[in-house]
Amino acid sequence: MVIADFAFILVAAFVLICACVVVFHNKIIYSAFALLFCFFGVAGLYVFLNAEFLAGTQLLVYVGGISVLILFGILLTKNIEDLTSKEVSTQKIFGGLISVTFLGGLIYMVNSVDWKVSTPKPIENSPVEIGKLFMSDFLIPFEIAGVLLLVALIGAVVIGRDTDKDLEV
Amino acid sequence: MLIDYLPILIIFLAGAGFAIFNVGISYFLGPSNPDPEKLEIYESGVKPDHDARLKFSVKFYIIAMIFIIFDIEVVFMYPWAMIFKDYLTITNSNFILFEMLVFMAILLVGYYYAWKKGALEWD
Repeated sequence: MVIADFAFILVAAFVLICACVVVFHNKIIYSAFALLFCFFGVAGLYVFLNAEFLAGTQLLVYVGGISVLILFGILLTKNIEDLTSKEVSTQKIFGGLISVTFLGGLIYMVNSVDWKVSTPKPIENSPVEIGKLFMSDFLIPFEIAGVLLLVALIGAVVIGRDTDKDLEV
Repeated sequence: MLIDYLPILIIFLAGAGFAIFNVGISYFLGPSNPDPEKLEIYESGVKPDHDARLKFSVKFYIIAMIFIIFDIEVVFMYPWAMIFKDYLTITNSNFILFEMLVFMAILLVGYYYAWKKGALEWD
């Protein structure tokens, strides 16, 4: 399993590098595209966790959907190209201090928790298992998810319509 | 397990190789004699006199959000589709078909609402 470890390190490094570009790049459009690749790498990490369905969902929703939404957001914002992150970020020392403290807390947590290694074998063909659960034990949550999507859809239309006049130039 | 993803890796490498090869070969083999006229955005057209970036209507954003909603709907349909045939042959009932129809009907309400509100129109 040396090759698998090597592949994992490669994908993890890819995610980290992309995430660093997202945070540190000066131009927001480059950050947005780096975020796209970051999402893509996270889908790869899901593959290593034997969560194929989650990986597919990540590709479909995050890479294909959320990234487009973020790019649209940049496209729709006026004069966003003139701003650089150097101008926008004002409290560098304070923000950096909080980030480092948070990172330290996370590292402490990861090291201090006694992580359980699960003994059952990973589920083969997870979409089938998820489908079975959706249609039996989690039938009501499945339908409620539909209602939740309906709420989001109507909310998007209402908010978009209402603010349309104010935002349009 | 991981070996199943080898074809995806090959596709990646083939795609990246194709891009790199084509850009590289035109970079190395193509003649390059730049002059100011050639480097203009339109070599022999109307010169751009203002920023190409213009403000888009927020309606495009609504379209994108509606797209994501139906994107997620498809994600929910996928596991259902994976078990549909087996379920029909084993139980011989249409229960999960109706279950999916209810799910789709709920979202169709939202689609109808968006349609009637004119969120899908470009104008």
